[in-house]
Amino acid sequence: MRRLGCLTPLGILSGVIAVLAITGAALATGGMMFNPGPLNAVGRDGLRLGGVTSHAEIGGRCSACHTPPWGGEKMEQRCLACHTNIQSQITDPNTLHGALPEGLQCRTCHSEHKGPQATLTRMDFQAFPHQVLGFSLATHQMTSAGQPFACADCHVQDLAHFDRTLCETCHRTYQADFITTHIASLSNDCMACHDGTDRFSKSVFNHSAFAFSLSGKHNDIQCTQCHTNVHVLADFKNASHQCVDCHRQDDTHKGELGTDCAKCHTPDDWKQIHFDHNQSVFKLMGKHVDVECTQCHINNVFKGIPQQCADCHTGDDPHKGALGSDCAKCHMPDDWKKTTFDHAQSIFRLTGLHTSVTCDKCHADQTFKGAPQGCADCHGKDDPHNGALGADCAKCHTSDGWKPTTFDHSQSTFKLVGLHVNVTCDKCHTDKIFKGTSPVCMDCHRQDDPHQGALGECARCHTPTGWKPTTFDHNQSAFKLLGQHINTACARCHTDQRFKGTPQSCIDCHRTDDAHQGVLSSQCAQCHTPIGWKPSTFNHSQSTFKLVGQHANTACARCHADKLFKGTPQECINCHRQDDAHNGQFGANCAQCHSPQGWKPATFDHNRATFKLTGAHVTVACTRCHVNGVFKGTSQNCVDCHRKDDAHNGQFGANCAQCHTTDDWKKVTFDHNRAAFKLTGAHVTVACTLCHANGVFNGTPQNCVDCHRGKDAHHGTLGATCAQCHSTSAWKPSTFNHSQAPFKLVGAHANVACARCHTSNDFKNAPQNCVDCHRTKDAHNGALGANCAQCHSPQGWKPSTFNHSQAPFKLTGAHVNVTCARCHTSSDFKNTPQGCVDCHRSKDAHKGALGANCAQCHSTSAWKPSTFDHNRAPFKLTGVHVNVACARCHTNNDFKNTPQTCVSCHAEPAVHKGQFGTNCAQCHNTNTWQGATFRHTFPLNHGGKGTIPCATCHTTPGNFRAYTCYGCHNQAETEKHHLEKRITNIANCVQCHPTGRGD
Amino acid sequence: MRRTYELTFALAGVIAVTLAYLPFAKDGLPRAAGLVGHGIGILGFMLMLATETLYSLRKRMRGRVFGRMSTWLQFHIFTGIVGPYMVLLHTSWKFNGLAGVVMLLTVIVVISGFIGRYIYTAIPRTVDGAEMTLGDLQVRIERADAQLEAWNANRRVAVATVAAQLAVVPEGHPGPGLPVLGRTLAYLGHQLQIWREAHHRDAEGRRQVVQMKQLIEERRRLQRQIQSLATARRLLAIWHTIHIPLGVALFLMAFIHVGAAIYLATLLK
Repeated sequence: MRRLGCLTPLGILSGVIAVLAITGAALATGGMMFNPGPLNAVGRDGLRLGGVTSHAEIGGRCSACHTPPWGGEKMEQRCLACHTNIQSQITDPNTLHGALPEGLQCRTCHSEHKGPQATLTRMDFQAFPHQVLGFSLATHQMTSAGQPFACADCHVQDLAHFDRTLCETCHRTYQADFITTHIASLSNDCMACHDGTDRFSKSVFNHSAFAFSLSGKHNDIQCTQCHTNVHVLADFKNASHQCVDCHRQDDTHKGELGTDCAKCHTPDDWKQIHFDHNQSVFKLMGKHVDVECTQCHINNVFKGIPQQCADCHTGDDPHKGALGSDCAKCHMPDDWKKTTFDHAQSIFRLTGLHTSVTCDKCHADQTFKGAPQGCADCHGKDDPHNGALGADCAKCHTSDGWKPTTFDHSQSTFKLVGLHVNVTCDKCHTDKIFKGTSPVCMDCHRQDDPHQGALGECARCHTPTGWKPTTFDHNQSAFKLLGQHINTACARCHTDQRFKGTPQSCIDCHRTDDAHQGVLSSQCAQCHTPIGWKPSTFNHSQSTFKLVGQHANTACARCHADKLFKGTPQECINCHRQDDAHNGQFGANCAQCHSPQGWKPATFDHNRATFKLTGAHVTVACTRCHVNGVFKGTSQNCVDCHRKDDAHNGQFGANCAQCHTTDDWKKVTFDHNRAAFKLTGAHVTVACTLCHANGVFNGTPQNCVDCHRGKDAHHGTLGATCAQCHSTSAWKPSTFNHSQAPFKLVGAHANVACARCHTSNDFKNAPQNCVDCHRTKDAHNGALGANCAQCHSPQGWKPSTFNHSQAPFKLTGAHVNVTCARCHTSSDFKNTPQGCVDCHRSKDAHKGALGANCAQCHSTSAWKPSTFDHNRAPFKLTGVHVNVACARCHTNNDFKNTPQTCVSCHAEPAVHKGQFGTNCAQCHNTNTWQGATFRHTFPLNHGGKGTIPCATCHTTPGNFRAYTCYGCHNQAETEKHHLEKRITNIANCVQCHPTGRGD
Repeated sequence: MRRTYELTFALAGVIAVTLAYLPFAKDGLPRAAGLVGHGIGILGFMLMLATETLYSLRKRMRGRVFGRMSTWLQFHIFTGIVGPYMVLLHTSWKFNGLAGVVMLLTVIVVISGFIGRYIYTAIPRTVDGAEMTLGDLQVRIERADAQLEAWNANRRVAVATVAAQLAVVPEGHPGPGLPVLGRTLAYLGHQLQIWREAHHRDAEGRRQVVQMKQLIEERRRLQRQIQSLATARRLLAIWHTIHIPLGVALFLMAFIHVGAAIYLATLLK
């Protein structure tokens, strides 16, 4: 490492000048140059301390106040050495400085170097421990005007003094009334009680901490109402704790009840009394609790009050004293009416409804003694029997209620069963008369008898269970009930509830039901049964018209209209006239062709007719030919029925059977091979209508295109005869021989679909240039012309047969095997850049620093070894440098900015010790470090002193160009010698003495 | 030439220090002798010391080296700006006595440093910070010419023609007093011409013009460096002559100021 850069001659000179300037300034002004600010210049009335009237006079004598750090003396000792008055204050605890806690230094509160007029005391109002002086500033943070307190607000004269009257003066400005009262009742010596913590305010002072806790109205009174004659803090303890000492004038009991008001009263209100009457001899219960004290304690007399009931309730006694003076024997304090008398203890026990009867119901006029006990005494007015059943109601009734009575009817002569049990007594015992009631049914049920007495005693047919069902057995009568008669209501036959003499003939009851209106007989039972009117039991097979087929199920009324059964006509047409589809043309006997089984099928045999039915004719509905039901005279020509079906519009005559059969129209029996146009291949299965359109068979054209014109893919360009290339078997494959065409198909072309080249089925004008078919797939986008065959063959696009050696860019080395796309990106073969870096930019280890022509150093065979001719570079490689790996000097593949100084690659060896500089080539060659060949131009042996140190002449380290000869030669003598020869410019000795020789 | 960011970092450092300082200055400037004032002063002075020593030491190291010279120069510039700024905040804008003189010298040395840095950049250097010789520059300019020629050879005729026109950079005539600092109007006009040429081309054309511009710029920079090499070296030597003595005086006074502060205030009992 060389010397520090700052140690140049000018640098050193500059440093020396700076030190000298500072030293000079220190000598001239003392420590003023270190003064951070001017000292205080304010004096105290000319008071001289330590020889000066202000700190400013000390000037640059720092040591007057500042002590050296290595000494034992402190700065405050130097302060006190001058400020002797403060020294004396410190020993007196009654002074400001004496009251301050230990550990504070002068500069805690006093600072200097703030300017000539700046205050020396920098006391922090918040931080100053004022409480140690006996008065806290806790409640003196803000003035009444809302400004922060300053020291001078209280310490008007100076900080060491405080005028105690200042409290009154200041507080009177905003609470004059309070201060006036407060001072008048206490004293004007505020500090006697107050220490600045505001502990006597109502929000802070805790009276509970003392023996007398404040509560209720005591909280609201002024302190001085109890604490009278208080002047100092200790006077507050003199206040009495006895109630009467404060409340003597309030005592309405005139001292009768003692001095402790709190036994009955609370501090909340005099009237809030908490006397416990239960502790007295007269306990309060019930309504006594709510009674005002003064109702018993008249005139606030609480002692000697009488305790008998009558003493208070004489006026309330409704018994007028008849039951004694102790009301509590029967009554309770809760209510007069809640008596405690136990009737069970009397001779008349109360049960049932008697228990809830009010006393006065029996004890009228509050008479309790001698009350009568017989039922009738109380219930005489209630007796519905008017005394007929005696005075003892309890024989039939209980105290639970008049009803139900306890009379047992089963003990009587008339037992109650069935519906009688639930019948109310008064239904039979009218007018509450129970004796002599008749047991005969009719006496009670006369009005209920629908037979009006005709049938006698009810019990013959009815029971007490109910009027219905009756117990009458019809089978015991002359008319037994069967079938629907059983469920028929009695009244249907026994009208007007008459049961006797009822007629028994059917028609007597069914006259209105007789559908035959009496024509057949009055005995319905001849054809009908009691089971039901239908089915009737008439046997038609015994009549002249037997019922068979559908006749058996036909409703009777279809033939027997108007329910007339006699004289009904038996010819078919009589019933089927409207059904006759033939309008009578075949007569009145339908049975000729039809049977009772059904109209159809008719049993007509067509084969017996002249027109036999075959094929589809068999299943054709008769009406297709026999329209309007006309069967006779029907035409037998085909066309008469099939005129609408004739697709040939009559061109082949009226006899369809020439070509068609009755099986199917389409089963044509025409033999096309007999025609001029034979059918082969796909023509055989083609529908006739495809060629014979509109059913026209005559004159059908026979050229291919006549039928295939619409589907001619060549649009007529190849003529009208499709059979030249196509057969009737299929359109494809066609039989065209491409080898006869100008464009022979070889390679991949042979398998290409025709449509790939012959687009739009255009075979005549198909282009023959490669690009006409391959334009869309031309990877070169037309850049290489229209003839693909120049490079490609029909065998396949790849491999192409391009000869790169004919191109400007010959492929050699690794380029030969590189895929085309590596250089010809985007299949662009024409504009392919030929600069090396255009392909190798991303892999250029030199990051473009060596230009775009990689071939300068590299060959196409491989990147390494490179063939750079270093001799063309400014730095020629010789000796050992020739074989050194490139990366030794060209680190990070950086070949451009490689430093060329020796020292950039070769660290200076220790042996040189910085003596020979960093240009190794001065002495060394590139072949070997050994045998340095430094040629000293100046003869080293000119003085005959042998080997001398280099530094003898080269005194400047590392600079061998600079030299001096005065290491050996005496400078004074040399200068004198040259001066004698009038040579003055002798700075460069070698210029005149290149060989070291003299003169 | 690589773009450097030391001035940006220095500006960010100054802003960061200011933001950290502002909360303490809310109720008045912090006293120079207070905790904040002393703290910021000590840190600033440490940075100034680092400015002066570390770069100088690296310049003189031989054998095993730590970091590139250019990186150390960037660090030197960063600390040389941020450190004095912190010392300026330490003064609380009171420049009494020796402390005021130290601050004044600090300001002068910083301004001198800015001038020196500008001169320094005018001298062509290797990536490692070593100065280039005239021969080095001539070799480089030959390479630049070869690259430009190769570039033209690989371009279409139209592009190559334009490139040939734009490649001739008018050097103008910088004033005699500003041989190093000059950047002539003619050069700015040439830049505008290149921009117009690029503006009227498609994307590929613009890309090629940008490539060409980079090559031309490199060649022009080398030419300008050759022209100003001797002048810049002479100016740098003069600057060294002034800057170093100022720095020595500054640090001597600063040490005395620090010693006095410790004696009179810090160690005061």
